[in-house]
Amino acid sequence: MGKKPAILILDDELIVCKRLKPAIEKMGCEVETYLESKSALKRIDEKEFDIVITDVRMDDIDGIQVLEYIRKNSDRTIVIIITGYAMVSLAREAMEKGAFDFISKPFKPNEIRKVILKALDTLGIPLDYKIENKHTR
Amino acid sequence: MSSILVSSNVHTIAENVAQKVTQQLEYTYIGTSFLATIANEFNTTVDKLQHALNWLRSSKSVSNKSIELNLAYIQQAVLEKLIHDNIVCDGLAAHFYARGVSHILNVRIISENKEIKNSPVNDKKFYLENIRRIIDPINIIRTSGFNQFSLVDEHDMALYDIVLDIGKIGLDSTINTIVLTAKKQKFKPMNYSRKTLDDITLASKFRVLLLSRFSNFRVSTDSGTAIVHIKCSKRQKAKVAEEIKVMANRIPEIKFVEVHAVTKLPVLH
Repeated sequence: MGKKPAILILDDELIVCKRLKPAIEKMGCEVETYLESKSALKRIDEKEFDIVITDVRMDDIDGIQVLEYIRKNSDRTIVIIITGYAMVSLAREAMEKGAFDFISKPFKPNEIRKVILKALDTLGIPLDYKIENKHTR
Repeated sequence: MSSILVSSNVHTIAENVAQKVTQQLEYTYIGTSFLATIANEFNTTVDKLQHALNWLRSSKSVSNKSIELNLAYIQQAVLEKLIHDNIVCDGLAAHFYARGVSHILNVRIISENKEIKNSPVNDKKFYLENIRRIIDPINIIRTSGFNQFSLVDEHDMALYDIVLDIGKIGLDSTINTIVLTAKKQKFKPMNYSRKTLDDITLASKFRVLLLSRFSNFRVSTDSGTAIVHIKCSKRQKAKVAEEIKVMANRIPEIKFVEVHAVTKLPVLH
């Protein structure tokens, strides 16, 4: 059996980490979560993750700085930005600096799963996971 | 890849630039010839659609139901096209309503200070109108017929991502600048920008439907939830809300509807 894709989630809101971790593990990925940037960056130095999902607005080092750091040190790691303060200028800045995608909060688990599947495809490690469409009215 | 909106005070300039950019990028072009398709789809006429567009670009005296409706048709049709990416659009006033979408490049072409010379800012009547807007915004909104674009000034250069003076840099440089900018990573579609475009497109679709029955409302959508602010009394609210919810059932993408009865409509920017 192939190695599971390794994903790191960085968000200073505990609830985001608590909800995203099982939602992404369900896809067959290994997930580590961090609430603050410095320890996440230390971990990123130790291990090359396939995907890093990071919030933008955090104390100390923000998500754009995390993105810049990863882009400087890895050609491979894909960075997905999530934020509750989405604006056109921020979105464009993130993409210009090499983010793979930019997602505004709140989002449904399937939204981020779709982006992760697309990212893993880009990395050449497609995942055998089917997203179910639920219609509610 | 990004989609591109090209506008100018001189329509033929915008059209020429838009068509050349389309050729270079191998995109799909939509211009004023699309009005015929819109007229057919919505059972209106090209003349009425063009009249509505002309009103939008004027100093915006009082609008009427026909202008509102025909603008709504144009808005829905163009936004539904823009969802498909790789579009270059001119002549359909998309710079008024396709806003806030980060992968849409909004370009203004000005021509040898014609923009400034012809700008209604130099027109005393327009100047007085704008002073009135600052002093008495409620009255302005009332007299403009609650049109959602009443406060959008296409001569405000802050509305655009790039402003190019074609008289100073020439046609080739204008096109090259647009093409190179459109290729930048920052104008790549992303989850957030696609969602924004989906939301404003869905809102435009619901708007067309609501205009068949109501006026004096604003509609926005967010991930399938439609939010309608409508001018009516508290007494009428329950009946109006029920009617609106029944109408929303005709659009499968709308999952929930919130209806707010207001005495003053929120202003869209």
